[in-house]
Formats: sequence, C-alpha cells, structure tokens
Amino acid sequence: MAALAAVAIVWIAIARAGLFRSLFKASAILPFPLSFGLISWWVSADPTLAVALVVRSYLSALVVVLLMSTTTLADIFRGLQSFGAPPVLVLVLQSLTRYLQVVVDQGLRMRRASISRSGNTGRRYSLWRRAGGALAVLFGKSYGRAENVHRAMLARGFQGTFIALRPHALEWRDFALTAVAAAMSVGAAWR
Amino acid sequence: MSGRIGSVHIADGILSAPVWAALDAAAIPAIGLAARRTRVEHAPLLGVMGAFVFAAQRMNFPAGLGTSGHLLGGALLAMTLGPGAATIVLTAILVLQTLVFQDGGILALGANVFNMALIGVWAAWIPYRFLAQGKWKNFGYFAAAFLSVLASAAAAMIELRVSGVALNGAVVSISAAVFVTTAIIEGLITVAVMQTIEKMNPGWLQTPDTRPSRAMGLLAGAAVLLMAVGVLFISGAPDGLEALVAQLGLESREIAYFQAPMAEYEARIAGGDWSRKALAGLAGLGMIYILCAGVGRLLVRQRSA
Repeated sequence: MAALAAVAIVWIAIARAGLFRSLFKASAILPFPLSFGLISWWVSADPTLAVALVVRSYLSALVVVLLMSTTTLADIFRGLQSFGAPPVLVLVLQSLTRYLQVVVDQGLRMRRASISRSGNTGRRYSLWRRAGGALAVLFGKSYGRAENVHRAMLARGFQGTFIALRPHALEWRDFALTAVAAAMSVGAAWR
Repeated sequence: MSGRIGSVHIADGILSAPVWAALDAAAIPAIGLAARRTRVEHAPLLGVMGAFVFAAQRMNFPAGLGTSGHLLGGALLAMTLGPGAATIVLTAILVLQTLVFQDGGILALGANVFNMALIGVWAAWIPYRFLAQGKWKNFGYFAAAFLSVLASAAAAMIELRVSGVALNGAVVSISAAVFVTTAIIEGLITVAVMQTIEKMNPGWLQTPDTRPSRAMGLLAGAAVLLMAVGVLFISGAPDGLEALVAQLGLESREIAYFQAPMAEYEARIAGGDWSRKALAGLAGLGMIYILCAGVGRLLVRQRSA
C-alpha cells in the first residue's frame, strides 16, 4: 500500500497538481472512513484493520483529486458520454455544473435576507414554517429559471446536445499513458 | 455521516470488492432504464433542480438541543419530478459530490447511487403514489421522505454487513437511532416544503395514478420486503444475515467469500501479493462494462424496433 501511495504521489508531482493542496483536498473524505475505522478498532480491538481502512479510502480520494486537477469537468462528462453514459444524464450533469453556484448563491442570499429581517428567533414551529416556505420559494424560482434557460437554449438552436468545439479522439499518447499508469500500479502492488 | 448526519455517502475501501462491483453492475442498467423514462428536453430543468438540492442542503432547520438538520431531497425530487427523473438528478448529484467534493468513493459510486438514487427514490415514490391524496396527503409526504431515508440507510447497513465491516449491537443501535432521527427530520422538512409548493402551484407536483399497475404492485412488495430486511438489521440484530442465510440453507462460505477482502487487510498492509487479485478485479470490471454495454445496446435496439 505504501508503494501505491508512492505511485500516486509521483503522478501528482508529474502532473504538477500541487502536492500539499492535493493531500489537503483529499482529506475531505476522512470523516467517513475515520468513523468506521474507530468503530472497527472498538469492535475488533485491532488497529491494523482501522488503519488499512482509512489509508485505502484516502488513497482513492487522492487519485480522484489528481483526476480533477488534470482534467476539466467538461472533458470528464464528454468522456462519460463516449463510454456510453445516457445522453440525458450527461446533459443533466452539464446543466447542474453550470447552475450549481448560481442557485446555491441565490439560496444563501435568501437565507441572509430572512435572518436580517427577523433573525433566527421565534417558536420552533414558526422557524420551520419560515424555512420550509423559503425552500419552497427557492424551488419555484429554480423552476422558473429552468424554463427560461430551456427557452433561451431553444432560441439559440439547441438540438439535444452541446456542440463540442474540440472533438475528442483517443490518440497513441493516451494509450501509452494508460499502459504506463497501469504498469506502475501493478508493479507497485507486485513488489 | 460524511460530515452530515444521516447522509450515507459510502467512501472507498469500506465495502468489499464483490459488493461494490455487484452494486456498480446493478446501478448502471438501472440508470439506463431511468434515462429511457426521461425526456432530453427536461435536462435543463433536472440540472437546475439538482442545483436546488445542493442549495437546500445549505439551509438549516433547528432540530432542538442546539442541533440542526437539513433537507436531503430524494423524496422531494421523486414527488415533484417523478421517480425516473429523480433517479437521474440524484445520480448526477452523487457523481458531482464524488468528483468535486470528495463526498463518497468513486468505486462505491454504484453503491451510493443504488442506495439513494434507486432505493431512496422508489421507497419515497411508492407511499406517495398510494397515500398522497385527500386527507392522507400530509401523511403521504411524511411517509415518502421518512421511508426514503430509512430504506437508503438500511441498504447501506446491509452492504456494510455483507462486506464484513465489524459492527456490534451497540454500533447498530446507535446508527439506527441516528437514521430514524434523520428520517423524521427529513419527513417534517419535506411536509413543510411540499405544503408551500402545493399552495404556490399544484402543477409542480406529480399526480399519482389512482389505478396502480401490476408492475407497481410488485415494486411495492419488493419495497416492503426490503424494509423488513432493513429493520431486521437496524433493530440491533447484527447476526441477522447469518440467520437469514442459515434459514435459506446456504453454506457459511458465501459469507466468508464476501468477507474475504476485509479479512485480508492485514496481509495486504503487510505487503502481501495481491496483484493477481488486482488484475482479476480489473478483468471483472471490464466484463461488467461489456455486459452493461451489451444490455444497453439490446435495450436501445428493442426500443427502436
């Protein structure tokens, strides 16, 4: 496992993805395996299992961070489509990525406005009613936004797929890189 | 879990290889079927609704004792967009959470999709379909959200148990208490939101069919069965699987087979040679991909025929 970790770190270095930044970003996965590691330690009284569990989760997250540092989301979605993912799922992923920050920002603005108007005080029932109402309003606004977006897309000649400016193609370099990466991983595991 | 009480985004390294591989293999054709039920013209709406769920998860509801809960959204999506579209939206959300937010593992993505986008959505849709009319409406909203969370959690617990994760009675009881609390909070938030959505525009809700088909009846039966098995596990009976297997007359080696990857952690961390298994795993993944691609082609051909 140490050899596999070394392979991941070498790839991060080659990709110039920022070692400490990648290590930090991958640590977002830790709460789940750490809690299971602690449970495993408590139940089986064997810390080895717990450590193996956490290290495996962390390594997997580190590789995902490496993927995200070297490949744009748009490229990943197009890759998914070329692997046969349903076009509607890819379109939803593209729309979700596009409007994620917009809708989250709108929600946060609404919450700030609500707190500045009335504060987070009152009976619990009225707080729930207020928060539920705010979410329903956000739902309605999102629905309206989606209809406007769809109309705008149709007006611009949208025919069911986003047009790629740069077509994807598998080149010999891709095959070579895949072979080297696979050989390094298997070699590290073989030792 | 994973920073949020009750949301079960399983990370990698916790489920055993046969479990996550089987769930990946099960999730892929199921998503294909859900995609067939979803119109491409609805994609912008579904994308924006996915963004809405992300935003909704940032809005806190006071839950007492200084704690707060938030909407998880599976049931709400099923009731407003329909089960097929909700499955697609939740799958997209889970993909993004795995890739961008490191919330859930990439190999366990199939398991997370299976638990939340399939079981969670259908466990919500079935009670909504049968109950969300007349004076039972609010109970239907609550039951949909409550069962959605509980069924997802029960499925995750079963997967962890089959993978050989060490769980004792105390851990199972604490987890059950957390899951039931989360499910109640989800139910109450969903009722509060659905009541307002209904007042704003009843057209935003899916209208349940009053005459359920036979397929729906079968699905309802499957859901009840799933819940029964789930309750078996979360009611403090961690040996339930062994008892179930013994009743079905299966040998205990099936359990040993599923548990093997966890049992061999020690050998692996000590530098054991598992490259053979890694290669076998890669070959297995390749076979799963070919199988899924073949089934997908067959479905598309049947549809166009």
